[in-house]
Amino acid sequence: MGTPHIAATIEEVAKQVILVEEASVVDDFADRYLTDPVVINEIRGMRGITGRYSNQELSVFSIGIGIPSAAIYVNELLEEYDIQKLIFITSCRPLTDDTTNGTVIVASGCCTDSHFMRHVFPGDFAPLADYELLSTTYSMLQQTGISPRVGLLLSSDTITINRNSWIEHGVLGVDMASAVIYTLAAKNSARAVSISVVTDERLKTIPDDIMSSAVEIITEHQ
Amino acid sequence: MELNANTIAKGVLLPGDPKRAQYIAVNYLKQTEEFRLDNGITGYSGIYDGRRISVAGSGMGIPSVMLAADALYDCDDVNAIIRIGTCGTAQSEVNIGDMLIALGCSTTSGINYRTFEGDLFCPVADFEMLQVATDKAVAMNIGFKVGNILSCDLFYDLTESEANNRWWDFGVLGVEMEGAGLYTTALKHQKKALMICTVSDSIINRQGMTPKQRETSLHDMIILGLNSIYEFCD
Repeated sequence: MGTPHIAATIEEVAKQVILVEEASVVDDFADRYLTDPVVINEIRGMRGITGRYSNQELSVFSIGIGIPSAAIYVNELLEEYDIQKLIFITSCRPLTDDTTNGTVIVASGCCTDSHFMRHVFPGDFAPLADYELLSTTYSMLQQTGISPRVGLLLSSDTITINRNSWIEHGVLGVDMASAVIYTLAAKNSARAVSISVVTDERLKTIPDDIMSSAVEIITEHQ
Repeated sequence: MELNANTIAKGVLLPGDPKRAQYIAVNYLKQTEEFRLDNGITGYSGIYDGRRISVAGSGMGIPSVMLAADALYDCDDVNAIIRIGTCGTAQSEVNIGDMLIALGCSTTSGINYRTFEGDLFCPVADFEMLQVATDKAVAMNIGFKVGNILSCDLFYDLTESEANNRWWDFGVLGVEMEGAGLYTTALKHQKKALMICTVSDSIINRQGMTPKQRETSLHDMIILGLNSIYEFCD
């Protein structure tokens, strides 16, 4: 029962999972949106909470910051808890002048400066969103009045980026985990999509409109 | 660049084989005229359903398609390219005759290695084009899968190494030789690209298409390509 990093039993984790980076965001989420929230993981100060939103059972997990940390939680969720679909909601830093604070980016694919899969493939594996989840996400966000940009994110190991080539090739923003989430989902034949909000600082709270869209998206086509 | 005025359309269909481009011009376009780019690439522009569309052959391999796409996107008017081609597969749920649309392309090529100093670039399709093509395919009742397609450099592999099979374990749907180059070039020009492939060979079954299959699926792919690029040619 449980994995090295997640204390929950299989029954305690909902089939619909939303991932964020920090425990404080999970707590904030549970306070604002979940009825009957139950804490199911607190190992290492992370947070996993299962509750109900709009009559849907939902689990929200923090996965830490960066690809190495994200890979641990996502691996365990996909393989031990058999999660089939997940949404990652994160902040990202802008790369181009026209991605201002508040812009929402849905990553169709992710670049990375991490070497996490250098030894795995004799080349470049393309970390891509699940197409159906990507389409649904785009439509749902539009329906709430958000005009998301769909394109490339750069998942970086570091806070600062100093290369123009990313910008010249149309990369929209920089986060720190999506590339590995997409790769692991592909390996496990699971569906994943990443929604990032452009901001100068870490995401402290998920905007209401993104939140309601995310739940619609994750619970559609069960 | 040797072009007549108004020769090249805003949208270009780009099969690998220049003879295929000619076939499309002759059989699907009206009032066609030829154009020729500096680097020797020739193509045709003609009318399809009232709009001007161009078609050209890219040649085989990433270096070839990048030269073609660069030259085409360098034309101020050209804004969108759709590559149509065949691909192989070793993915168990993908069958001969299936139509695949590349959301993005993995690659064994080194094209992005130097540009990004060893980091990983992810060549992806233009999302708007992807939506248009999938909507059209649904309306035309053509089945399709959207996902990851591998663009490789070697048609004849030099090794049977285990690592070469790992792509399939990560959900890659098919393998061809141009997609990553086209998508990278489009992104560099901040213009639009999409790749549609038909599975002509299965590496696991060592099977190929029958002539009849080739004819039908090729026709479907050409029509889908034309109907999709049409939306970017007004």
